Amino acid sequence: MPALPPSFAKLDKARLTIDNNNAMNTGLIIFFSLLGGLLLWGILLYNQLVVLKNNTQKAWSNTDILLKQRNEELPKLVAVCKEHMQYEQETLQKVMEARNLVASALQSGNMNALGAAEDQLRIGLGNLFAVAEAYPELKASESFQHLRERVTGLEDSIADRREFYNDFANNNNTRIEQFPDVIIAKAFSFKHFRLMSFSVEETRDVDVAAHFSS
Amino acid sequence: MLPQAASNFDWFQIADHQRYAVLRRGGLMNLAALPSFALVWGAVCLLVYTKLEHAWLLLPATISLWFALGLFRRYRLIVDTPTSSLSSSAQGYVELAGTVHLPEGESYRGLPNLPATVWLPGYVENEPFVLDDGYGRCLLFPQKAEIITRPGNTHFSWLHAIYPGQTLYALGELRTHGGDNIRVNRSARLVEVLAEWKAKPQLLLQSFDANSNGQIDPEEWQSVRTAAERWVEEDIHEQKLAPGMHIMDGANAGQLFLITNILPEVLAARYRWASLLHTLAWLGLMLIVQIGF
Repeated sequence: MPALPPSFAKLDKARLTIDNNNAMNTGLIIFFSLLGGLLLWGILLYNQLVVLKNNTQKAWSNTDILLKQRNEELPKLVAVCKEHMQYEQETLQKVMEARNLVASALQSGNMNALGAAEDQLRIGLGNLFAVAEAYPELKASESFQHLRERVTGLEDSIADRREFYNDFANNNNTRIEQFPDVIIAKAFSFKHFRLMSFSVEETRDVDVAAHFSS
Repeated sequence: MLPQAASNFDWFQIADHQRYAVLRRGGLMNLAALPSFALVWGAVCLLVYTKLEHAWLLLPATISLWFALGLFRRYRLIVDTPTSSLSSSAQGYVELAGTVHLPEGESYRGLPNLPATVWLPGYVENEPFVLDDGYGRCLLFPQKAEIITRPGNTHFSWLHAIYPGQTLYALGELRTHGGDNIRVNRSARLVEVLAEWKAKPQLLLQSFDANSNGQIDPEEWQSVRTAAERWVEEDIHEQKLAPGMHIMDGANAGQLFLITNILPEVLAARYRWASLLHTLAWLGLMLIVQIGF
C-alpha cells in the first residue's frame, strides 16, 4: 500500500483524534445518563417509602380517633349501668380498669400494652352486656340502649380500621425488607410498624354450649 | 348542551370526539402503558436510528426512562394501598372498590340512543357519581381524576364509558363530613354558643334571670355557662351519631387520583410490565448509542 502524502497523513491523524474524542464524549454522556437514571430511581423509591410511611401513620391515627371516642363513651355506659346493677360492681370495675389501661397505652404509644388492654376491655364489655340481660329495667333504658349501640358500632369500626392499618403496616414492613428498597430503607432508617394483633382469646371460635352450661 | 355530533348520531364523529377525550383524561402515562404504544414507540426509535445520528437515540431513551419511573410509581401506589371499607371510612389515601351508580334523583346520563352512563369522555366528564361498596356510599368528583376505562359490556364495544352497575375502583383521598370523624374544638364551640346567646339578651334574661333583677348576675352567669356546655356536648354527640357523607375529589401532592373500571390487579400488572419494557428500552437504546451497531 503506497504511503499517503504527508498532508493527507496529517488529516487522517486529525480525523482519528476527533473520532476518539466523540466516542469519549458519548461514553461520558451515557455514563452520566445511567448514573442520573439510577439516582432518579433511588429518589422515586425514597419518595414511595415516605408516602407509605405517612399513609400508615394516617391509618393508625384513624384507629386512634375511634379508640378515644369509645373511651369517652365508656364512663357514660358504666354510669348508666351503675344505676341498675348494684350487685355487679366487679364487672363494671373491670371495664373501667381496662379502659384506663387502653388510655395509658394510647398515650405511651405502646402497641403491645394496647393489644393486651384491648383484649381485656373486649372481654369486660362482653361480660357487661351479658350480665345486663339479667336486668330488665336496664335493658329497657333508652340511654343504655343508645350507649350500647354506640359502643358496639364503634367496636365494629375499630375492627375495620385496625385491619386497614395492619394492611398498610404490612405493606410498609414488606417493602423495607425487599430489594432494592432495603438499601434506601437502611440508609434513611425507615422503621417497621407494629401490627395491632388479635389475641388467641379473641380469635378462637366461641363455644356457645360452654357458656350455657356454666 | 350536547355537541352537534351527538344529536345527529354520527357514530364515527362520536368515536373521534371520544378518542382525544380518552387520551386527555387517561394521561400520557396510561397511553405509554398500552401494548399498542410499545409498537409505535419501537417504530419511532427505529426511525431515529435509521434517519438520524445514533446520539439522537438518547432522546427516546430519556423519555423511556421517564415513562418507566412514572409507570412504576403508579404500579406501587396500586399495590401498596389497601382497600378500605366505607363502613368505617378510614380517612386519608385509600382504595375503594364497589359498584358505580348515578346520584340519587338522576335516572339517565349520557347521549340519546345510547345506554345510560355515569361517565362518558368527551360528553359527560365532570358530573359526580356514586360508588357503593355494600357498606356505604361515596360521592366521587372526577374533575381532577385520571380515568381509565375498558370497553363496555354492551353492544357498543367501541364506546369508552363507565356504566351504572359496573365494578369501579378509586384511589384517592377520602374525606368524610360529619359522623365519627368530626374533630371539634369544644372550647371554641363554647365561645361561639355563648356569643350567640349573648346576642339575644332578652332570651337570656327570660331563661336565666332567676332573681328577676333584669340582669345576669355572676352566679346566674355560671348556670348560663353550664347550660351552654351541656348544649355543646349534646350537639357534638348528635353530630357524631349522624351518618357521615363520604367524598373523594382528589389526592395530596405526589399521589394519584385514579378512577377505573379495570380490575386493580390487571391495571397494576399492566403498569409493571410497561415499566419494565420502558426500562429495557432505556438501557437498550443507551447500549446502541455506546456500541453503535
